[in-house]
Amino acid sequence: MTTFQPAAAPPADHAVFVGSPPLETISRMRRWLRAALRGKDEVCDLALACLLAGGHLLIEDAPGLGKTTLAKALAVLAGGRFARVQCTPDLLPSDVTGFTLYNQQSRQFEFHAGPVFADVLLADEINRATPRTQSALLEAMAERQVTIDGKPHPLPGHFFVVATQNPLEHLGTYPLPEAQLDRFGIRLRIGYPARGDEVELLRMARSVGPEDGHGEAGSLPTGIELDRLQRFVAGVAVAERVAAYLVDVGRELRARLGGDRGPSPRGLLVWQRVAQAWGAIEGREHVTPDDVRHVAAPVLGVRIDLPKREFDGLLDAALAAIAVPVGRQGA
Amino acid sequence: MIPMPSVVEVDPRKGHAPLSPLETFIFAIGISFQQLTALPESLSGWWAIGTGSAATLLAILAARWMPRWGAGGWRTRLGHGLVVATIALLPALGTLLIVSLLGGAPGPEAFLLASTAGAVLLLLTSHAAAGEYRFALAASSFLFVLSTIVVAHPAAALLQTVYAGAASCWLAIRRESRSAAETRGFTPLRATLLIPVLAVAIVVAAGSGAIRDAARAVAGFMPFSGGDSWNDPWANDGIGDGENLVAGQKDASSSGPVDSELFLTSDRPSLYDLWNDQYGDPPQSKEKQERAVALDASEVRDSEGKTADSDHAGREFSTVRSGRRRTDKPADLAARTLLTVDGPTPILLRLEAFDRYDGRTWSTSADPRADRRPTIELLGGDWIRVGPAGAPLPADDPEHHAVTVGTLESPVLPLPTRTERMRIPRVADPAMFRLPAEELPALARSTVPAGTTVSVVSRPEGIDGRDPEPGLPFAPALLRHGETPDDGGGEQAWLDALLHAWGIGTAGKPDWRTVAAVVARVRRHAELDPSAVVSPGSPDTVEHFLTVSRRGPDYQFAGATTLILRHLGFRTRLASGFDVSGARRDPRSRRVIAAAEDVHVWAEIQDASGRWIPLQATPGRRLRGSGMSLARWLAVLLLRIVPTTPHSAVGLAGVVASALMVGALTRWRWRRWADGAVTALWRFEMGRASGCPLEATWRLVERRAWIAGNPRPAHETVRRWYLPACGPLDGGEHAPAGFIRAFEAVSYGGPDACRDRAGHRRIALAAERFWTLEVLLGRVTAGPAGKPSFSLPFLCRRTPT
Repeated sequence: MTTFQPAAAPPADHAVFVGSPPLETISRMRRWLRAALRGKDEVCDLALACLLAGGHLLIEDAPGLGKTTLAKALAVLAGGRFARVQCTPDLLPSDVTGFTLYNQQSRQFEFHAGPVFADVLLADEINRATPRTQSALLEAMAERQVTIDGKPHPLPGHFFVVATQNPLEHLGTYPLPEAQLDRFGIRLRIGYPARGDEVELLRMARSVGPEDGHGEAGSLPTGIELDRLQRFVAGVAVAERVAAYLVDVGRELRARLGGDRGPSPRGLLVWQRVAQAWGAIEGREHVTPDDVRHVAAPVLGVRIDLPKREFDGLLDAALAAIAVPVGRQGA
Repeated sequence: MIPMPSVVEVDPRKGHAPLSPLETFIFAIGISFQQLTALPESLSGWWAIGTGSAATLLAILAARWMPRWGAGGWRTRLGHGLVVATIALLPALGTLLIVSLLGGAPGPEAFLLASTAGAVLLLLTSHAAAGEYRFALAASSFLFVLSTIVVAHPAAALLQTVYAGAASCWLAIRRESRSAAETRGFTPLRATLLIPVLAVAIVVAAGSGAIRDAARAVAGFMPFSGGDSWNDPWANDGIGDGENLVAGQKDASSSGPVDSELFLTSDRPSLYDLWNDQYGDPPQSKEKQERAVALDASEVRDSEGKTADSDHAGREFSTVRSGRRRTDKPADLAARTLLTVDGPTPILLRLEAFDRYDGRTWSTSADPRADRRPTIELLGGDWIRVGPAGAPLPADDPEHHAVTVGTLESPVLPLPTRTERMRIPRVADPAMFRLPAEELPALARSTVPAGTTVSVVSRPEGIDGRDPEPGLPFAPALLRHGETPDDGGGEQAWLDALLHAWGIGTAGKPDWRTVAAVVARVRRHAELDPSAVVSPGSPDTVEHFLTVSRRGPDYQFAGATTLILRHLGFRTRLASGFDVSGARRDPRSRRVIAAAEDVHVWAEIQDASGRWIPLQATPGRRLRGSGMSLARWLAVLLLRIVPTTPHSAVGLAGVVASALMVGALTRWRWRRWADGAVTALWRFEMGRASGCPLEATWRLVERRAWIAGNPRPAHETVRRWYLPACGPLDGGEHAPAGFIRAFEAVSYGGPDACRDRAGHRRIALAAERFWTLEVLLGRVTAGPAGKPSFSLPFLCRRTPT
């Protein structure tokens, strides 16, 4: 099932983000997103970091925990069209990318764009789609274009994929291949909210609609120049020693995995960019080793296919083996 | 009797100081102390007193009869020099003579002390000036202090008492004489008045009895640094979300074919489950396997009566196992937090203990159903004594821990080893506890509920084979194993042969060094291999481990240590629980998480007071408090200068003097002095125009943390290690948060980040006032008035609430 939804129409008097400094804009985006998904500040911040870093987001969790809510909120922040694809085994690649149809009246072939041409694409339960359909997303996620009938079609500038999968059910699913996992920026688990947040959620559902949980989040953010923010994030300073620290941890992970596994250079690039985004979210124009450590698990978890327990132990060991650079002269 | 030479009259015109009889007496005792250190234990101590007194008398007579230096011709001076050199060499020559005649091997410390005694005699013989006499007196005091550690003869205790009295009187006389010189009409004390004083002192010393091994007891009271990350880079590291994980647990983990009171009654894992997860399942008899058929709910109701073999789950430990399981299950949401610990790590939390071994299985000798009701001694404020009844509570600085039960299913309270007292708020009824084994208190009727926090005061030291003086923190003597259950092994010739090959005879001294030697040899003898298993047909797994495979998991090392020490006559047992290393630390709750991987088996030995001391024989694992602190090293150095025996007697005055000296130097002062030094260095750095105030203050905080024993590990970031866990952190102007934020900008930001020198100086000054030595020691909780108090990640000595 594919649904298209346009982004919410901005009220005329709420162009609050136009021209504001990048750090202030990011801070307000952060507050807005946190209000949209209550009780999951860490998840919201990481999702926002992924958006600002220009990566794609993979969410693993049980149904009903707010994956769609988060994706819609991100679509609002991205400021474009939002499309949702409910993946099933009979979903065809053309259902995602689009197809060319012969119009007998005009006697011409017309291209009908698929949901992949939205600014934010929610691929729900992506592991239920066949590998053929999953691979159709590869080119779109990596190259930001699709090729249909030999003709390339560029995607919107900040094309952003939010994919979800349920890790608890394995029957009738097709696990994502590593090549496709590497296209994602980070992987998140939302988890159940705390008791107080759930009580607040129910209270809000009585006053607004159940699908409009962020009704009290304040004015809809409009005028966000995502391209400008992503360029700002790319310019967040990364000291040479911090970059070397990131590389050392990555190499330590490879060594502990036997040398033929571990994060790829592309993975390290994504790790650095997400760390830059995290630094910006924290209100800084530089990256600290804490930023690198903070985003390590979400970024690397999607690239190292291990059970969570073993992955956590591996990452702990790698981080404990590398000295943190401190001070201007090093550690 | 001690000879009392007449007063040495030295010509005042030549500037020589007169030597009083009391000073002569003190010199003689000092030389006698040196002789005591050289004499074999088999020789009477009176020999030392006699030779020491004779040497002192000889030196005084030589000084009386010989002219001063420089007087006379070269022949006179040469003869004078030869006499002086001979007398100065008397202690060393005497030591060599005694050793060569009576056998033995003098250590380097014997010649060090002989040289000191020679220096004293040299000063006496060579017409020294008054100041040099005082140096000689100080040297004799040095000999006296060392002798308090060395002495093994009752005469030495007497000598020390006399020396303490004589030295005190000498000081009193000196002071009174000076006062008399300044105050007309005042009659100074006379040396003859000292005789009744000394007599009273001797009577008091004799009446109090010999205080055996008081030096060891005093050394046991000395502090240790408390930090565990000194040697362990894993300390205080790790991730996890503590209570959230606990709250999120949902899957049943307890399963198994053997019925027990825990089986199928809870979804929380027990220690028995964790053993099976970590080491593999023990072999089950066919009869038990048949009982493992899944039952319907209705049938479960019919099988409420326990089977005959159902009492052993968790109450016995099989050393024949199928090997570690490989986790190939997909990730789940089950909580991993079995326990959380607030306090210094690593630490052993004991949950089970076994004292009977049949070659394959460890079990308890007591009937598990006949749990003994402990003699619960309430100490006030809900505190309960855990140690043996009657054992004194430690008067020194113990460690505080707070252990919170997570998903672990256990009726036994997870307490650290050598726990002195514990406290569960509002649970102080003796009827609520039972005692399955010694020092293993458990709740009487149920398992410990999740979320229960037990505050514990303990001294969790042990022996892990690296301590040069392992007996320091413990009681002086060990218990023999008269009550140890029969292991059924009979004569174990292979064990005798192994000990012989190790150079540890079965008739060795029952002291801590023997224990440490065994632990160290077991650690080196085999290789740690968690996946190694023993053939199910092996009649004795420990023998197979020590003589054939020489590789195995931790329980093989523990079992081998237990049996070897038991073979040597010590009372030992096997214990199991958690070795919480600090590898998983929840950054939010600042608590260390104990997970299934922390399950561990170790050996324990009982000391004279009834305490069970942990022995860590597993390679790669360490125990806390094993000789890393400065105080401990100083104490070991003192004891190493001259070897001592377990039953040496020391004088009360010497013990007090050495305790005060070591304590003053190491416990209270050195941290203050070091803090003052680094603070002065910081002020100097702050005054430099070219330096960055933030970096200077960061170095100060790092140095203070090192002094406090809580240094930041290299793999920890400044923010994670130093920033308080709660408080007004969002405000950039708050001291710790503002400092770290500014420091990070300087460290990782652009080159212009350090230009705001005035602003940075203000932040640095506030930070210096915040991270004081007291805060970094964890002795106080910091925080501005009216604001939430902080919880630093390394607050190791916080008193549980």
